[in-house]
Amino acid sequence: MSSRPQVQEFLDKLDELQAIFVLSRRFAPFLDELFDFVQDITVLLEEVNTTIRTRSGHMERATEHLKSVSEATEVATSEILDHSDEVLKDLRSIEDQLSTLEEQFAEEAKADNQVLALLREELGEGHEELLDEVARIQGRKQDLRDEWAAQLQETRDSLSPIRDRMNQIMMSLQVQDVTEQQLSSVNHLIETVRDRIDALLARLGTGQADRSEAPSGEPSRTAAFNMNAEYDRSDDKQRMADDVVAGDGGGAPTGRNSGGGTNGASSQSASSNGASSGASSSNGGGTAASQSDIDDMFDDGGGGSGGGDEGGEAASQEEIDELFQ
Amino acid sequence: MKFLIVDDSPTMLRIIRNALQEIGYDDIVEAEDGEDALEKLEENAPDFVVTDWNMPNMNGVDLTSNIRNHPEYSDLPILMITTRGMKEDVKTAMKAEVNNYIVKPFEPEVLEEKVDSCLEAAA
Repeated sequence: MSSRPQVQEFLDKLDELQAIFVLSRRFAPFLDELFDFVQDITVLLEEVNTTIRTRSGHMERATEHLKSVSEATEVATSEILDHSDEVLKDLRSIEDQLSTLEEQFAEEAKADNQVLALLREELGEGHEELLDEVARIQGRKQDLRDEWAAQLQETRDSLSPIRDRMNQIMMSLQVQDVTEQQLSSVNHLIETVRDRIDALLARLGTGQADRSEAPSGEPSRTAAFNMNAEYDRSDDKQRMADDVVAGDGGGAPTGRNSGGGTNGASSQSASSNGASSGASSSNGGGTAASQSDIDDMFDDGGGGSGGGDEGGEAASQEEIDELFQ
Repeated sequence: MKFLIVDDSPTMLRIIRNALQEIGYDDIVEAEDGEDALEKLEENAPDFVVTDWNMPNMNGVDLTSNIRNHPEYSDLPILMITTRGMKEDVKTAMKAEVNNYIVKPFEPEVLEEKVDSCLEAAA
């Protein structure tokens, strides 16, 4: 009697099984297509992976190349500085020699005068003709010495602009420092992109890549470069600053800044890490300082409210000078 | 007058040294970053510090803060020479209490003027 429900249950299971078979038959083509798709996409992903790895290798080479360029410019700049030092040393040596010659001329003139005086004293009257001749010869010698002295002065005068130009060449080599910072900035960017790609690849490969592994793109707080470094020798900013300063009349800085002169100022603000840590990171999106902004800052006692994010103009040297007066 | 010049660029160290020598200051000690500068400060007791901003290990702003907190050298004149010419940069340097600020590239005359200005302020 109890086997009847069991038979019914068995028949129900068979119906379910049949339904599954029917369903499977309907989905079979779709599953085949899905399988083909996965196979295709796998190949494609492998190709993408290989390409990214290759590009990542290129980036590594690019950073190495930039570093070698940077090192080469450093070496070349050092060589130029060496040569400039040598030229300046030679110029100083020539100037010293000119001074020595001038001193010798003076000594010689003095000696000639002494000889003439001695002859006059020893020979006395009766030798006027001889003494006049000696005086005439010594006069010619003095003329020659004066002529040479004039030439020496001309030579000395011509050395001065050479020295000035050599100094200017040396000062122009500041471009190396600026270029170095620009290259470091580009290198940092490339390395950031490469690190991100590596993190992405790791995630694709293992599924374990941590988001925190990806770099932020911001240089570390100890970054030895300024992302916005530029070699700008124009005096446009200076003139602009002159106008602004003339309009503002300048502010009175406080604390230790030049012109303020109160040495007893507390250094509490300086000791706060907030000030320095904010400063330390290279500014990717800093706001250029205008003279009025800077003046406002000093009118506030140099504390700065941290505001002023409106777009301004870059601070020129003269504007900065004004802050410290 | 003994100068301590701080810059991670050997080129800039030489340029600043030459410029200082041209205006008559020959007693110069060099440091390659802020940490090195603090050591040289103890060893050499300079009268004036000229520092870059962006340097590894310790930057110029942190160096300035450290000097300002130093029991012996807190009143040292400090001149910052940097490529950073933005408003926020100058603000930050001021907060750290640098005495004056020069934007690179600079001319020797500007350096002389700023050194004089710092010395006058400190006198």
